[in-house]
Amino acid sequence: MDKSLLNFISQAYMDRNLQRQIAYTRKSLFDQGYLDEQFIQLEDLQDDANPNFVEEIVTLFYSDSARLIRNIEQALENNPTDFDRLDDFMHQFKGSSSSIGAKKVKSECTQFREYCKAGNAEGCIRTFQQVKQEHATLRRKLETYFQLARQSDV
Amino acid sequence: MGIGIPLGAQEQVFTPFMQADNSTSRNYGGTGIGLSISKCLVELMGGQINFISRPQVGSTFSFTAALKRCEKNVIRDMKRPPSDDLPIAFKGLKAIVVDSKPVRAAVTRYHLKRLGILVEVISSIRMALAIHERQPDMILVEKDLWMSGEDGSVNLRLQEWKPNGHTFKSPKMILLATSITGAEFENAKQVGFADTVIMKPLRASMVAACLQQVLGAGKKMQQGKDMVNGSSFLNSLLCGKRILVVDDNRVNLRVAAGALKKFGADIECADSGKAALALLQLPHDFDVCFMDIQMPEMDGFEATRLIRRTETKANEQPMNGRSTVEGREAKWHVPILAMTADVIHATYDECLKCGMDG
Repeated sequence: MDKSLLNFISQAYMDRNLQRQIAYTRKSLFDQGYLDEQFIQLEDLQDDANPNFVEEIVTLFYSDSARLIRNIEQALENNPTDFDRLDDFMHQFKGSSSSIGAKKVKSECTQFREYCKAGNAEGCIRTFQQVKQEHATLRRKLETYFQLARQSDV
Repeated sequence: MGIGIPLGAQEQVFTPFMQADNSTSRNYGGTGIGLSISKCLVELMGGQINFISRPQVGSTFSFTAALKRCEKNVIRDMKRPPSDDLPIAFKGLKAIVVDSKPVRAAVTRYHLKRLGILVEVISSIRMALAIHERQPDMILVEKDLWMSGEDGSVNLRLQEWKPNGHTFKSPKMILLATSITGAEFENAKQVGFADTVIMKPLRASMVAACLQQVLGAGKKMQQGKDMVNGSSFLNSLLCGKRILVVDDNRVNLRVAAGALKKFGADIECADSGKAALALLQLPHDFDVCFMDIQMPEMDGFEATRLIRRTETKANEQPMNGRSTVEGREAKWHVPILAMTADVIHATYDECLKCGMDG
């Protein structure tokens, strides 16, 4: 029997395993609280006319938020702390995080804004570390997820 | 009944790339791998494949396979269980799909079937309207077919079409399109098409939403994960409209634009109040503007105030040269709707004060 046909068949079985892996990875992102409903709204906007919509939005988010993170860090170094400015930056950051369904990131942002309102510089600095951490963790996880998803498109 | 396989070729039927004769691919297409793959699959599933064939009569293929029950988890893990989320209100309704392209029509039929709708595909509008005895509940027409007007159907006034003598409810006519301009939409409505267009690529839930609006069928619709509630209303409201979305947050801008496009709107984006002002210089062709309030440099209120000022000035000028609609005066007033994450009562009043519409 032709060898290339056998390869073709085994590929079909591997693809099925890949699909399972993708589904499992995605489900755990929700179960562990990294993503919320809003991410599903993004997925709903993805279709044949916009096949990579979700990944594009997430990529946009990370490039956009990198800028905001730099701005916030600089603002935190200033003395005296300009809480209004910090709050403005964080408002943006929280808005985008919310738009992609970044649940944990968003909740750290909310915490940060509480400290801003209270004029608590130390609280802001501490919470910002959390924000950055969640931001980075989510990025890694989403990258893994997208890599897997891309494999199945080939 | 088919052409059958010549006796001499029957031995080689499962050999890759062998076809009974060269003309097969010319007449029927194909590369000659199908049966070899089928044989592989069947044997991998622990079975055997066989066939009986007589030339000029046809062929019958059969196979056996050993299957086992699948683990329950597999289905739950998949993103969307296929049948659960769709409404059942359309089951049994009859549709005629008017499309000259069979493959495209097959896709449309698939989506309608998922909603339980019985579909017949017909390739011209005139033919579709002539078949009275089918008594369809709806007729879905591909926009390109209608626009090309090959069979003179563009000028067909649908309201004037009356069945001879019989009384029966006239079917709803709905357009199917990948895109549509405001003008096309107006034309369609004038000829008698429903005031919503089913946008492609098709998704069963969106089709359901449109049909729900047009047919008013089924009060109880399942709450699918998609934006079914209210979305049919939005579809008719936004279809073919020119919309300006203003938000300094690029991520939100992209998401808003993506969502609005789903309803068939023609979207333009602006990432600042200043950019919005430039785009809203008169004359412009925007039907509505969604404006973020919290923006640096120039916020939504300020931008709106300036826009209204420009409009008032233009409206005060004498009429000559300005376009009129049926002799009425056309006043500039683009509806501006505020977008904001913090919805407070005071903010709403401020919106109205600076000239927003909501």
